[in-house]
Amino acid sequence: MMKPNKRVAITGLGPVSAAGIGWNSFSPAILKNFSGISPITVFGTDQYRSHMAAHIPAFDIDEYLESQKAYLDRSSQLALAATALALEDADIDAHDLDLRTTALSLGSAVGSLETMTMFFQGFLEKGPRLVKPFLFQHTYSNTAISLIAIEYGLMCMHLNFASGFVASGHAITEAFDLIRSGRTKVAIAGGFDALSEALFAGLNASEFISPDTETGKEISAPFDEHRNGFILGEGACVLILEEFDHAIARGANIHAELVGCGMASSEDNRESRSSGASAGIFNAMNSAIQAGNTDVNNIDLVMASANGSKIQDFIEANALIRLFGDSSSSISVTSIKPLIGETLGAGSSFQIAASIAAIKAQSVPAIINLRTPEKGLQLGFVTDTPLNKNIRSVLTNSIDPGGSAVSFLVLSSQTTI
Amino acid sequence: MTDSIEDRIKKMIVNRLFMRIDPSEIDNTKSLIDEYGVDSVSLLELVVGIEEEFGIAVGDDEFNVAHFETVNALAAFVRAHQA
Amino acid sequence: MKVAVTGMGIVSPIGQTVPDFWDALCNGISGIKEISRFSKDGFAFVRGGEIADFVPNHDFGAHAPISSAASFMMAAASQAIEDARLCEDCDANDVTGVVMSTNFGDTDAAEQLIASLAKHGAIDKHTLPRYLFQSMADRIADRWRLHGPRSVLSLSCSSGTAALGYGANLIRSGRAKVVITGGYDALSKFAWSGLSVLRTMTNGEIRPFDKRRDGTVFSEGAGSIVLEDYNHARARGSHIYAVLSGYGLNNNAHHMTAPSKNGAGSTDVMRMAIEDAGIAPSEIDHVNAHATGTKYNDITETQAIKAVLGKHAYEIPIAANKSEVGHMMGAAGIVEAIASVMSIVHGVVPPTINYGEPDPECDLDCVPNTKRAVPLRTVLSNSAGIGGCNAAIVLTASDTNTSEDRKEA
Repeated sequence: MMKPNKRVAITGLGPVSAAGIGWNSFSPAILKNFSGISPITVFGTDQYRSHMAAHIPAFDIDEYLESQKAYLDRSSQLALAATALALEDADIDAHDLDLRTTALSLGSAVGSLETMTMFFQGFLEKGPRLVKPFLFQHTYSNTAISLIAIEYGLMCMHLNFASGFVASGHAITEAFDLIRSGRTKVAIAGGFDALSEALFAGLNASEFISPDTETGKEISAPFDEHRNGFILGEGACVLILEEFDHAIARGANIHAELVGCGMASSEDNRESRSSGASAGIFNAMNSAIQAGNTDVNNIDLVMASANGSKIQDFIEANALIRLFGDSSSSISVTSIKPLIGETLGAGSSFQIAASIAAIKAQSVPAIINLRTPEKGLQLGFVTDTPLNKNIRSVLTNSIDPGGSAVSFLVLSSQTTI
Repeated sequence: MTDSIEDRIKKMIVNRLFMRIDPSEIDNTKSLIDEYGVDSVSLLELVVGIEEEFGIAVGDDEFNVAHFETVNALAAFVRAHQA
Repeated sequence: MKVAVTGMGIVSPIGQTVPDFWDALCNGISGIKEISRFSKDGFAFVRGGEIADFVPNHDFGAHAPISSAASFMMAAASQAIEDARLCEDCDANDVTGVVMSTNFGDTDAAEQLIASLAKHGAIDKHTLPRYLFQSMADRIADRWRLHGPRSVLSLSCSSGTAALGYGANLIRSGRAKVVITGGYDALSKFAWSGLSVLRTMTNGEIRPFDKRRDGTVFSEGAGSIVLEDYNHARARGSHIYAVLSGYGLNNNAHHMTAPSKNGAGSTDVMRMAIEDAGIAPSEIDHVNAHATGTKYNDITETQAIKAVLGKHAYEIPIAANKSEVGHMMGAAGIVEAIASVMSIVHGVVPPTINYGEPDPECDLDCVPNTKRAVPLRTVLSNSAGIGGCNAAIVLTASDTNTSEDRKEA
């Protein structure tokens, strides 16, 4: 006989974003539609088509760590800070965790690309004998997760996902599955990605990001008829997921309950607007809703993946229209990407945090740059100003341009289904 | 006046290991491992640093912690190779 | 829920099909030679497991990969998918997932990106999307029209074994009925220069457990294993090679590069895998060791195996596949899992070659130089990597009852 699945509580939130660092700064910023997007100053952008990003100003890793570190890739700094904040918010001393039932599960799209760049530029300048071993150890994709394990003595289950724009979505889903099956009681789960010139230059060339042209300005405008790409954001967001009874037993503050996660994929959705391309996100949403034993009528808000991409926003909107059917024009839909940028591997994790902010405040941040939705995309977009409404459950999505999709169903901790 | 080999080594150590101290604070006789938190990979970084700074090649059989334990030991190693 | 192994594929320095690889491995053939992928000028170490004679086994059409790394992976995956008799377009219910794993991914793309940036040169629009590790999972999923979960893990040299554990958990969690797992990496200037200055390599022979061992040798290639819900496999009449009955993943939480004291992390991860399989340590018949041939890895791993298995450790054969194949980085775990499965199927443990001088600190039975026939039901396979990553899996004969069967009975 199958054992009943365990329930999963979210008991810690550690956002490190351009719109705010820490829950007490992030949540109000999101709720009042504060955008962290600004002109890039950390490297010159004259040669690029775009010049903006959501860069985190005035960030000092030393504030978050017990001991000073000599060198850390910026992505590792962001991940370490987010972990420290999440543990603090959950009132957990990581050194006291039972390692047999703890998991560390993070994800990022490009990991330590900045250190890789420094290392390989050394190769190009000086040849193979004089490259720096000290930097090389920091180039691995698992650098951040390893440093976190070392920092807190976490000799426990660990996973590092390198699955693009859905990386933290995969990390959180696996943490959820490990808790549901009983193998894990406490999971440190989330994602991170840092701004670097190599990443920006690569994205700039790839035509993913919104360009500054004579005919249109550089803007993150999800679902808008004039949208032309995303604006990159950096950040890390780590969540503490906890087996529900474990959280109750230690008297933890339960922010929300994670009741369902869905993972699916479809054909490449960089170029195709076909219905086949929207099947991935449709299936992911369906599976998250089924896992929550509920139906679309009980969903109060959609925290969309939409980042201003011409194709993926269209695909997501169509999947939502199909999923919500007759009620699609009234379902509240928002996106926080005009506020924190497209944070790649950290995106799913930030959106869960933003969903919790909306549930707690009973208020939905608006899609600030959405003026005129693309024709045919009839959804209840929240525009201009935050919308106050009763929110018990949020469906939140992330889509990777290569076709992967994840969806989560987040429930108010006061709600039972 | 040109820097001594010891001073050049200390500057190299601080730069390469991203240390947040002034090179002059490093004691030439103290263990880099015990006093300044230099680990195994950092020692390898210092080997590359010596190779670049002084144009010498450190063979695999010469990579011995004893040669790299202190600034003085590193300087002696460099002098022996320059001679 | 039981997870079956129903397909395998490989591109390795000693064989580009599973039967060729297995023959070479059992016959103690070394795949290590001087490398030629890039200019050796200035490199301190020049021997590796290069796949110089790679012939793609399929016409991948629009999905044709550009880099060596991706080509190896596509070829290995196509073998595994064919071996598992997963038909074209058969994922009608979107139940087939893809889990790839790698240390370095498409380093060609990364090197191009960084070189262009250094020269302020133009960057091709495909370079960054190609570099994203997720693109490997997409390439395979698109080629075979698979619409289940697709993901990529990167946990240094434990990646391949970690992908098998995660793939198995996707099936246990009901997220997929079939998962195409893969591990891949190619020789590159980026990785080779970094690994060289870490001084873990040898220009001589790779000699795991031998007293004269003085370093590892890195190799390239890919391995792929099709994991499948046991009942799904039975229902469609698949050939079941073995069962993946348990896995463990962890971190030493000690140091980025130095081994943990007494192999605590390695001990712990083996125990996790054995416990997950629901068996006793005494039921392990064979260990396919990580055995890199570096001074410290082989001692620490020996200590850890003894800590987990006690006296029983001396009674079973230990394999060190890297003595023939070299260290295939992100592919190592899957390649060694393939060898472990073949050991169960054929009742043969491949030899540890280049072995001559026993090391009292590595005193387990490493099957020196000649293969050995021995009936096996349960194998433990270990992997580890930089950053303190460890992974272990337990594979059992397909007719072996697992603890779940016992519970159900």
